[in-house]
Amino acid sequence: MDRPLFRGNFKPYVSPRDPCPPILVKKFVLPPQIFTNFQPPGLPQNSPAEALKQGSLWPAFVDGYYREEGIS
Amino acid sequence: MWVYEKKLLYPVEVSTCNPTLAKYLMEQYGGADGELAAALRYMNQRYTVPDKVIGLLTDISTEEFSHLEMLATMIYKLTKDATPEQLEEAGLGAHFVNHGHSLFYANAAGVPFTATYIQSKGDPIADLYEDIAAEEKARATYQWLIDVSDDPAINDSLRFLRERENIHSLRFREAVELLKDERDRKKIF
Amino acid sequence: MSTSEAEWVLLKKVQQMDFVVVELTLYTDTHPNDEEARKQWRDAIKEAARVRRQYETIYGPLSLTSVPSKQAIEVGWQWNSPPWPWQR
Repeated sequence: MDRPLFRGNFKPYVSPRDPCPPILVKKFVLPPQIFTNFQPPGLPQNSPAEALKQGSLWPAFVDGYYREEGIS
Repeated sequence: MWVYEKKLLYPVEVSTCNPTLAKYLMEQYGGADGELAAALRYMNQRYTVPDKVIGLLTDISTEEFSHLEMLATMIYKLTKDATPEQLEEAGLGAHFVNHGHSLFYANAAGVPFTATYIQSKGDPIADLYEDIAAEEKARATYQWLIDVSDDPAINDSLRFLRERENIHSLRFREAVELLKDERDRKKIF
Repeated sequence: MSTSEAEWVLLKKVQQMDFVVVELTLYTDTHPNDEEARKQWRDAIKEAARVRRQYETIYGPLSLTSVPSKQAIEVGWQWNSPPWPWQR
């Protein structure tokens, strides 16, 4: 899984009167499925064990999510 | 009809007694974008959508009930042996006086479930777009839950559930494409 | 490996095989003309049924559509006996 492919970011306006230390770059999720209108046939598949672990039979639609990414 | 399967969709495990986390997880149990809302939304819409997408709504709705059972399992295990004092500390004091140790369809703030969380317009595109939005909102909720949870076992289940939202969103988007194929089929001159 | 651990492992195998069926069912719902996927879906159902039989023979039915095995009856299996899924 190439997670950066499924993430975006933007630089919000920073005001000198913002009370919290500003986060200069905000990240957000662009999940894999939004780049496809229709799943093409014959995509590579996970093994049954890996499919249950990842939550999908097709690794192409798995992007994972970890708090360490610092998205919120 | 439905037949009960005496197993979970995914092997849920919980590391520690943590009623605070249980309170947060209730957002996906009885909240606006939670699993109950999802299951009921699709199960109700399926009666009036075009035949070619009835199967999908039925199957996704059924899967959502299995997600609801996973959430129930997590909440149950996180609170099972917690003392009233622990529940109070976790912000579940009000829940406890009303419901004891039982679960309830309410969100993380304790607001009870309401049918107004779901819609049914009888317009296939409006309904499917609502369903896509619902899946993306549930995905986002799982992200924020993972952000506030430090239980690796719970996060394992939450990641699985988040990924399912990706797939359901994809399938609903495909359903829209299937309906677009119907365009002009019965053109009469 | 204790009995309950062995059961957990075999149940997980059932969950894995059933999950493949769940995934392929949703896929074939929106891809009714993908013959290869439909074949895989039929094979996956057979494989899931095989693993389920393996589990149910030892530990008893997971649903009321399965016939209880002699072995399960002998060890005192009842539909109503714990653990229920959320108790495991």
